[in-house]
Amino acid sequence: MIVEDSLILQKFEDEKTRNESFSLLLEKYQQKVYWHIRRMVLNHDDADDLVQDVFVKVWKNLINFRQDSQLYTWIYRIATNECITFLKKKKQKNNVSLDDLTEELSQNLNEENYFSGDAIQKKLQEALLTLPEKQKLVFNMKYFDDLKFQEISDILGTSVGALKASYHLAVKKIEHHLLSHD
Amino acid sequence: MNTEDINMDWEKDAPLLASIIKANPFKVPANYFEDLGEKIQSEVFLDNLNSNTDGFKTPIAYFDNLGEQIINQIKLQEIIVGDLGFATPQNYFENAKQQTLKSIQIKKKGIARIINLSLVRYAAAACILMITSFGIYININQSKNLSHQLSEIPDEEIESYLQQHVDNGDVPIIIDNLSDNSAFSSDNSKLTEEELIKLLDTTP
Repeated sequence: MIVEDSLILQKFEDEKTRNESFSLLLEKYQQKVYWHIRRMVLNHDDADDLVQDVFVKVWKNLINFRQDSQLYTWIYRIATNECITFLKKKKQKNNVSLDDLTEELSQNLNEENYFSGDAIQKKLQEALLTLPEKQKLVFNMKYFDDLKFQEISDILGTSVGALKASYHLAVKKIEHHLLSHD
Repeated sequence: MNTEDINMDWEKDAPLLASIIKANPFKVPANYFEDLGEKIQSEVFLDNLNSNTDGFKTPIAYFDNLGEQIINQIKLQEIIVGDLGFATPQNYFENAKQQTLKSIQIKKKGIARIINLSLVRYAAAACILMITSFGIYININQSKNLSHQLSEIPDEEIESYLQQHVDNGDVPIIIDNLSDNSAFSSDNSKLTEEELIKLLDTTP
């Protein structure tokens, strides 16, 4: 049974039902958030850490959530920011270039325990690694999560037009990569 | 044509991508999502404890500086222990145990000598004291024995002894002794007539 966001928020306002509300929220969003993060960082352990950080932030800030945006776009925004911060830190910490980071991330695709896709899916993931972070985010949210451009706009704070352009550009690059590495 | 229709145009531009079946190629450990909710709630609980004002707190940026502080402490220790600090003679610590044992043995001998010398002194003092006491004791006993022996001799024997052996030089002693005798008055000037006759008769 899918619980409405409005009910989750209503229960969260009451201290007595706050824990119950949070359990409902986790049940509804934990997988979506996990996969959103996993597609960005590729590594399961990193995604596991990040998904926990995201929901700790959700818990701490949900009481201040103004319902001028959808709950899930708000949660996605937190998750996206965590991913971007994580990847930046990883780059700085290891003092590696973008190419080296891409190489490091692509190694996760070779681990049988964590990747079960076929050759073409692996090639798609490798193509995604060549995209700038924001283009990759837009592509993931549109292609895999089937979000509308307006929803992506709410999450990323970018205009719908810019997102469309970004998405088309990403698609062309991926197609080119798939063809050239065939 | 709405905006979402426009979005579908990409399939014409990227037919190969469009032909790929959308599937999630990533795997997660078994039962991962069953346990994830609980894991997150534990994390939230811990975070609440950490942010609770009644819990333990550290100074601002404590952990940022902690590593540097530890490294500085180690460097300081190295300087103190190292070549720039105090040095000890070669093999000092290897020989220290033997040196200490030797010192202890020498001290023990010294203490034994001191004890022996003191004992001799005390023993000598005790001997002198005993000899002196014994002498005094014998002397007192002899005096007592003389008086005792004399007291057992009858007065007639003493009188006859004195009549036979006393000369003129003994008169003053006899007079002195008479003063202690209850038979005679202590004052010569107050001698009775009979006493004087008796005295003159006994004096040769």
